[in-house]
Amino acid sequence: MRQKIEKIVEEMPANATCIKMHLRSSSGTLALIRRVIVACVQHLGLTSTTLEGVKLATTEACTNIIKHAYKFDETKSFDMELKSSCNVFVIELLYSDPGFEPCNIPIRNLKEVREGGYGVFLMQNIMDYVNYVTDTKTGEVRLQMVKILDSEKCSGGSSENRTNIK
Amino acid sequence: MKIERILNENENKITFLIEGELDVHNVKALKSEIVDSIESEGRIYILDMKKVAYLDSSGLGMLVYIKKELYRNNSELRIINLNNAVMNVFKLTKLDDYFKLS
Repeated sequence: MRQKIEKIVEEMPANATCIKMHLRSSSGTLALIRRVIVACVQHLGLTSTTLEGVKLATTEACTNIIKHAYKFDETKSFDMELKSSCNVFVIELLYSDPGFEPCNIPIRNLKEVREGGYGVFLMQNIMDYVNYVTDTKTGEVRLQMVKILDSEKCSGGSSENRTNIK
Repeated sequence: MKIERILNENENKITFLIEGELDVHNVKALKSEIVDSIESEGRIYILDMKKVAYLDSSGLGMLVYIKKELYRNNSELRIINLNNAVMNVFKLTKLDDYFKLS
């Protein structure tokens, strides 16, 4: 499944819609990010369930950057890129977090009720693909999250580019 | 985010009408408002979420904290009037049972 999704993303058409944002590391920007996500997902004509899911997963990822990587330091910033074609919605976040090891992210046990640790669980549960790539030399982290879209709900793009992964 | 507090002393109930989005930017204000209101034991705290359009893991964490605090104070937390999107966050994390949401 992961390889199929990676292939779909790799084969996204060159003219796929792409929005790039440079964002201040402030929790106040989260509402703005959600507005942008809503506008993008609504433009694609997707269901409200998909919209709410993508909005939540993106907010969780950005919250982790602001809270854990940058520790609420508002002098820092990160980049967000949203890409969409008819069958796929991709969110990429680029930020700095030297020493971050994706393999150290704890697996959430839902039987244990705690105050924290639900963010990554929600991202992984909602999105079809979540992948961190780290550069140990520069400390740069690239988080890619992918949502495969129900082609029947898709109103934009060319049907020729649709790929059935089921 | 707006928080309106309604105290019913006869029934020892306090209701918070919350309006807005519960993310990391807003949870601190709500947490303080509720925790500061913890006084008498055996009180029922009701969070009316009818006008909460969005909730994420930061909001969930805050609610878990408040429920535990109230339990220590022999008080009770009730969460009511969730919209579908917010309810789904509780269901995904299986916290709907913990908060006894119907």
